[in-house]
Amino acid sequence: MDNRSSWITLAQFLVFAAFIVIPPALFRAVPDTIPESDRVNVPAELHRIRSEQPDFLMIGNSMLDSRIDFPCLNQLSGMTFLPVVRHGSASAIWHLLFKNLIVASDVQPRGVIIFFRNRELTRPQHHTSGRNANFILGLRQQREPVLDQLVPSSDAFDGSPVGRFRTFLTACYPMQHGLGLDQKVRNLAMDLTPSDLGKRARRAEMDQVFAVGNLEADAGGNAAAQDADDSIVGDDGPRATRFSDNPEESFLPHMLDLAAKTSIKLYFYRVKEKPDRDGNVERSPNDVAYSEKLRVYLEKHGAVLIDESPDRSIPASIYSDGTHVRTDAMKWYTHKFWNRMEPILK
Amino acid sequence: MIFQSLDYLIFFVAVFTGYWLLPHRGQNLLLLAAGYYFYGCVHPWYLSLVLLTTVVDFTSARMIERFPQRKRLFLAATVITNFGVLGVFKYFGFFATNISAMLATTGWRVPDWALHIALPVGISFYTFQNVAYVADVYRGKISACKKPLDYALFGTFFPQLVAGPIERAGHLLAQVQNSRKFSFLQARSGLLLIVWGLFKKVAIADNVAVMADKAFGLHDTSFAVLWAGVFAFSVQIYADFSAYTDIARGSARLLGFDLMENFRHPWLATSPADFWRRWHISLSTWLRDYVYIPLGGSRGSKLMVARNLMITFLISGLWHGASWNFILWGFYWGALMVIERSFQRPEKLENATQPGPFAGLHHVSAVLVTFALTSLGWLFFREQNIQRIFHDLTLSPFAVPASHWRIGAFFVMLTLIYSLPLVLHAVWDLRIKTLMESRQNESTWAWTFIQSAVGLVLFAGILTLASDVGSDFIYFKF
Repeated sequence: MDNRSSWITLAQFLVFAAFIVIPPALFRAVPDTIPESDRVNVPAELHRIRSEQPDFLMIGNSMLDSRIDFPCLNQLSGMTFLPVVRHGSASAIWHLLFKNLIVASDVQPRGVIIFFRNRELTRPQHHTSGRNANFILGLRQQREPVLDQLVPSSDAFDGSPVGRFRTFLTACYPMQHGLGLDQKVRNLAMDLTPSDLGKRARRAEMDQVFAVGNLEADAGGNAAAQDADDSIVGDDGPRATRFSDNPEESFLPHMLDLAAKTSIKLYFYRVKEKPDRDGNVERSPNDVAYSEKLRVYLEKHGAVLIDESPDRSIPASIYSDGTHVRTDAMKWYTHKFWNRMEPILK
Repeated sequence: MIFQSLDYLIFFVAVFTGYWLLPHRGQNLLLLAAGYYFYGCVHPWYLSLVLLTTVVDFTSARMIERFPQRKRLFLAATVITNFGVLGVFKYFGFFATNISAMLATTGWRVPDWALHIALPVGISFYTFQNVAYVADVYRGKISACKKPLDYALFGTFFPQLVAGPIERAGHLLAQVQNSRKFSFLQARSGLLLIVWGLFKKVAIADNVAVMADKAFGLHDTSFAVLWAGVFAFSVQIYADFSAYTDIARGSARLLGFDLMENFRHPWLATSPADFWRRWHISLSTWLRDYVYIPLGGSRGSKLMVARNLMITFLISGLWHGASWNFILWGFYWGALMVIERSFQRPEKLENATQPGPFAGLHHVSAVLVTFALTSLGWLFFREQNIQRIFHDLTLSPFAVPASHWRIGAFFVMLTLIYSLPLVLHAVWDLRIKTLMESRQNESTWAWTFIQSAVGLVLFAGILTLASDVGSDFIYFKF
């Protein structure tokens, strides 16, 4: 621009743009600090692992610590099993827990067991936003190329000038999901489609209809629908994320590679979700195929898959909801777990 | 690099800042470098394809003017190069898979690598754009561009490089060659377009996509859930694709360029032909000018016109993707156009502007019927498995569990709620904006204040309603 009027025009435009972009930064409704429950004390965790010198470490979310009674397991096995649990986590966090805590601790366990549910292992972006993003921020190192490649939308810290500017913008314009407007929209839709059923019953009905066993693995090339625990009317946690059926496009290759380099054996334990009265979870042919494909892939890379989904001896009565086990059934489940794992681990 | 990312924002701000500090030649060089960087972020190795087609097309056009007696040869060189590249990357795998399936019994098998050639993003768009340029030079509509850098920029203008609009040289290249001046009105409308586009993508399309994905993902779907999902997908694809176009056009306006309109309220279409005058306008006009009319267009017998329509729409289907569902989709639209044309009475055109006593009702009915026909087409578009398509078409409305009716009704209502901003935008665009512009000068502060308030509301909407489910723009696949 080569004259004064052009510069004035540009200034007018910048004022106009400022009216749009500045107010949301001033009135954002998100706390500045990360809640204590979302923080991770890496040095303390490393100390815990090093001091315990466990035989096996177990990584997972609430699937793990709602099932395994660790004192009971340690007594049964005569070995030390140490949990590394983060509720609501999935493969992105497990990858970081494995790399930045377990491998970084230099403890040489006999193995690491990763508890997972349905297809969490092959969904790199699953559960990486909101509170999990805070946790990732505390657990990651400055350079995490694998994480940043597979979860490009993560609120990741990058020390470069561009990275710092990106972090600044994210801080100024955080997504305001805490306001719950999307949930309010869904509630409005529910109010406007009256039914003899209440809202809770309708949500449960939708969860049942769209349960993972009822879904196609390759429907329309977009399998975001396959996340049974993220109902579109659910109140808890983030909704379905991008999904890939392909182990190659997940954190698995990197975890397996790291495990091979550090001579740590990996065991992937797929839990069974709440079965029907006969003890079966309805499994679609695609789910069976997925499990088999995953098994072949993991065994090819020196790991082990244990899928308890077909186990009819796990009854519905031990479950508290669709996925968690009742507290008073944990010992029973732990015995079952050890019976299954003893020949594999010993 | 996707439009709805911080990376794009940082990239664009850097380009915008440097751009307006430079003279015309410098601006073009900067945009060219930005285009290569933008595309290189997606596919560094596929930059070579862009460079190849740029060199071939620029040279062909110059040669057409220099050696007019051999212009067919040079046009053929452009067509073969461009469509050859497109054919290899987009269609080779499809044909190889189908041929392989046919020959499987003989033991012949296509190598795996042939079945998994990655598709360079945007190739369908820039291929058509480049071929149109050389075709226009061939026809004498425009002169060949004499500056290679100007032509290179025409072929790699980053706002429209990966998903259109498919520009004509007479429109975009002319702007490249002329100097641009910063205009407040143009920049203001550009910024608003970007914010509106982002809102449509993250707050509407991505939210509605969750329902469409659920419905299409159900193994044992029902009539109610499926068609609620089709409705959701109809809204999703419009919001998604028009969002990309708006962000592209808005970005271009901030740089002093004007890109062609690609959507004109397609859900107000009153017939299949009217729909294609409103939907993906850059593609439909390209097909009209470079396929339909050269085939003979509307001249000739009814059979010839029907043939021309079917070929044009089959090409449209194939353009979208190398799979049978897209061919079916193209065939469906071709059939609709043929049927519409066969029912069209000449006197209907004469009386088109004379309102009858039931004109309003007729108009609304036409809009609803067209929407229903379009939605049926979206079923073919979205459902990639042919067997599932035919299964879906046979679902009975009389065998639907009560739970599925409840879910279907909920999906429809939620989709309608998310569609409200689109309805408001149509009202704004067709009525309010025209009314206000006739009463107020566009450059008044009052009008600017109104637009900034709208922009602020949309931006706040992005931050509060953006879906957790991030996804690429649908038309990135093409």
